[in-house]
Amino acid sequence: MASSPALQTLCCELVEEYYGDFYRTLFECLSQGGRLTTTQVAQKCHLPLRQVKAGLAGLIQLRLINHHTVSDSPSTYSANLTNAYNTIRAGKLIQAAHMYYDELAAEIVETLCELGFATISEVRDRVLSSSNVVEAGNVHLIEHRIQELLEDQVLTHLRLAHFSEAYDTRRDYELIDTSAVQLAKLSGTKAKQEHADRVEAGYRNLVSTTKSESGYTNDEYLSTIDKTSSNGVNGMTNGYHKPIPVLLQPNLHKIVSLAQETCAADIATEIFGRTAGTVLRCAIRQVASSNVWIEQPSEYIHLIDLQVLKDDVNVERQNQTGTDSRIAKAKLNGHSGTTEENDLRLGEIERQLASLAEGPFRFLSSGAAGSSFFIDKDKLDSYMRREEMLQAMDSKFQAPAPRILRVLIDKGKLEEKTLQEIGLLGAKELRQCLLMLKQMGYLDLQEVPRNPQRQPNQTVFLWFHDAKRVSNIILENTYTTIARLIALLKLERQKLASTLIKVDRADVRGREEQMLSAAEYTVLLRHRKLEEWIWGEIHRLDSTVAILRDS
Amino acid sequence: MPPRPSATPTPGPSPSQSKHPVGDALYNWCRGQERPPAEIFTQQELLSSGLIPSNNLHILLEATSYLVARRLFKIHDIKGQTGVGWELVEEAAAANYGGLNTDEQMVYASIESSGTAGIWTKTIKAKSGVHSKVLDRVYKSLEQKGLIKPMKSVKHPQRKMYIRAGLTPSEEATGGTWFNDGRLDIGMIEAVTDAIEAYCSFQSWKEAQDDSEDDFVEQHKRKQPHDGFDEEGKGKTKKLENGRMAEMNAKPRKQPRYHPHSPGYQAYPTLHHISNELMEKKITQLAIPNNAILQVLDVMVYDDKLFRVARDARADETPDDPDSNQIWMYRCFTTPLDLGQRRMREKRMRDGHGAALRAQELEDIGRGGFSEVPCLSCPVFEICGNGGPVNVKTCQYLGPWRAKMEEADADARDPWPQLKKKTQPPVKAS
Repeated sequence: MASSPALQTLCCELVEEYYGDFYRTLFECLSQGGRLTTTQVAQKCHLPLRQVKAGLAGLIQLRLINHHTVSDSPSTYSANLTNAYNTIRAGKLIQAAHMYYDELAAEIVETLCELGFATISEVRDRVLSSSNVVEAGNVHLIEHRIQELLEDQVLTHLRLAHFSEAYDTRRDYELIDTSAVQLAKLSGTKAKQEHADRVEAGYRNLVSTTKSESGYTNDEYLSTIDKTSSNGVNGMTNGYHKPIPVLLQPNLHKIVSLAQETCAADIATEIFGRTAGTVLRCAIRQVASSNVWIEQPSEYIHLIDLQVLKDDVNVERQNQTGTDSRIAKAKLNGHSGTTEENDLRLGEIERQLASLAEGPFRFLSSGAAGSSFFIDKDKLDSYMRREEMLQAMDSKFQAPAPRILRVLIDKGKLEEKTLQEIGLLGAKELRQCLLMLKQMGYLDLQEVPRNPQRQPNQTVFLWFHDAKRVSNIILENTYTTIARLIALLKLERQKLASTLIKVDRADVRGREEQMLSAAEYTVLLRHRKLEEWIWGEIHRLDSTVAILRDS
Repeated sequence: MPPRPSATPTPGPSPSQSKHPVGDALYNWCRGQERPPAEIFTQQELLSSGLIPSNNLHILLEATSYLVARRLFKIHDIKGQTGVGWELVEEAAAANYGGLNTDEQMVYASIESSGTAGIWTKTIKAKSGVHSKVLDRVYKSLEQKGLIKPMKSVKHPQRKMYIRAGLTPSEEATGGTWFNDGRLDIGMIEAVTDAIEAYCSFQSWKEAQDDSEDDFVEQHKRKQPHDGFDEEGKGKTKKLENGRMAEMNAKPRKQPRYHPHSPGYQAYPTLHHISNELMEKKITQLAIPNNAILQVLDVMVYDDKLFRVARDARADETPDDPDSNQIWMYRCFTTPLDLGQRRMREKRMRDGHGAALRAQELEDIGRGGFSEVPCLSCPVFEICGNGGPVNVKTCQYLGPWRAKMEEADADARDPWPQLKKKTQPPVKAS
């Protein structure tokens, strides 16, 4: 993720919001200072070394900073902006776990979000001690749910390489892998390419979330989970480390695919109706769940398994109609549990897919016979990005700016006169709009001189839209807006500080209505309503970030 | 003492000029050839007419000079050849030069030669080399004689331009069908766009015949109350309007429900269909050419009102894309019912109805991650920040936004708890 001042500010605000002032101070220092040692952090923050060390350990546990140690020099620490930003998505992931699985799954995810990462035994013990949904001693149910969450990539394995910067991990691998070292010594393009490929493959292997640090793949691990989960440590070693416990982390990146499927389904629902929306949502989910590389999805066209899609759609429809059975329950019981008469048949699913493929969803295509359907992941990503960007521009600008932007996106570079003709716009109106868009960075102007003297009357001025740049502008604005909303929350809390301090007290919590005066209680309820709204807006904005930046 | 020459010594072709039989015969011969207008006669062609005795070039020169002087011939250089050619001018057009002085003739000739494109006064000045004050007088005179008229060019709206009186400015100059007096005719475009959208919408959906299926497009959509108020708020109104009670108690009229056409449907409207529809409906007084309709259709595609679908052209159709032999069909993703509701809402918004405005806002936010936070459309977004003159504490937009949130929750029947207003203690009378 490219770092920007707006993102840095936002991440600092988020760290303060979730973990308090102290962690914010350390995180801010590292995000501004880059790679620092403990001594440097202590000097910059004007804090005692002992406190700084404890704070950095806490931040590592929360996965908000990376660290790196080489043999003969002190460890260095750097801020992990990706993870710091992703903390905003914890609530969504918990909600999704609750929606698609059950309360226990939500508790497991919540525990891991609180801890940053943990071993299976830690998660199990914590859930057992705090949960109301699992009876004491029902360890098997928790492990089963963890297994399921791992299968669906709601949880992933945490590897040692995840604690370091990508650059450091690559360097370390280069030093360890002898054949890579030998290749590095060779000259020539082919050898260099081979070396780069080898390092990349090694790096990918080190950061792969589908297997644990001890070398188990997901399937291997899941088959032995019962045997090894008693202490969360298995006996395997990975060559240069001692036995490492199996570490789990919440996969906050999962929210990206959720945002994508929700957005696409919303568009489909708006055009073709609820069933089409559900079919598209399930089809995209099928593509997302088959992703092996979560960090870097590979390029491929996915063939939709219609039978699986039919089952998913019927379960989802049942869920939408408000039946109390959750998707996970249905899966656990081994059948969908939907009533046959309300089920969509395969033919109807095919008809819906064919309708969608004929519509604006270019990423969805049908096979020659019309009974097979494909989703192109790259096209899906670019379609979603384009839609989100256009949506952002439509809501920001009045007519005719969206039309101008769409024409330029479609046609490329155009002269003002041509733009006027294509867009059916008046000269004055067009010029004003172009200047406004240029000023805001949504359009660029290219000068093409007809002669070397570069006289303005002999120069062609071409307007164009740089999608990458505009996307960055929208992202920057979104980061700033989220930061301001968090600042607004803080301000509102300051206004109600006296009431909120009371509410935080153990004797008041849960009994606010009895313990607070009527006026104070009303103010508290109003504040909670406001908080709900603001967090709702923050999560909407996060969907924009998920689609524009992470998909 | 000879008489003092006037400022305009040459009064143009005058009827008093002596006749030239060969010239007249040559003119008549040229007219008899029935060549297309503006085609040029070469010297060889004129000699081949058999009217020039012994093909004597001297006589030909005299004859053509005579015709040129009477403005019945125009001299042209012939491209790629050495020598000149002559263009035939209608007698009526030539008669316009009668009674004009030299300056007027020069200016009129320039204007006439520019044809339907018209000519900029600055160009006339550069061509003729006449002083601008004289030119102003000439323009006035020519206008009074009804020979020229001013015109506006869409491409250069600031320029003062003239065109021959009898001509209609070219499409390039007027901007085409969608321009009126050099200005974009927004009203006409909107009328045509609305008609096309309504037509395409009706053609893109089929009305549901049965009620058994649950996947009607309308079901999922947020139902807009007809008057912008929810049923709760109507209680008082119902009681007051006793006269309308019977009408209200009557069974509500069933709204039509729409299905999309089956996949592979080939009868979505094409340019030809849309053009015919516009002609039948007589949206405009004049017929709209197909290229102008195509222009509007493109704009509607850019505005997300229509979606283009391709199909193979039939034998009797002209393909829109000759390379792939495909024809474009236009599909509208808004159902006729939604279209009607949207237009009603737009009308209400224009009339200043707050509820309609809010409904439109919700519709606009709709899907996706974009939110209604005021920051995203804030005019002072760039200068807002901690320590600056504008920040979260001083922001003027957050207050109204908060009120809007409260209002929206109240609309959704989840109102915020209300603070009790402090009552002022009664002031004792002294």
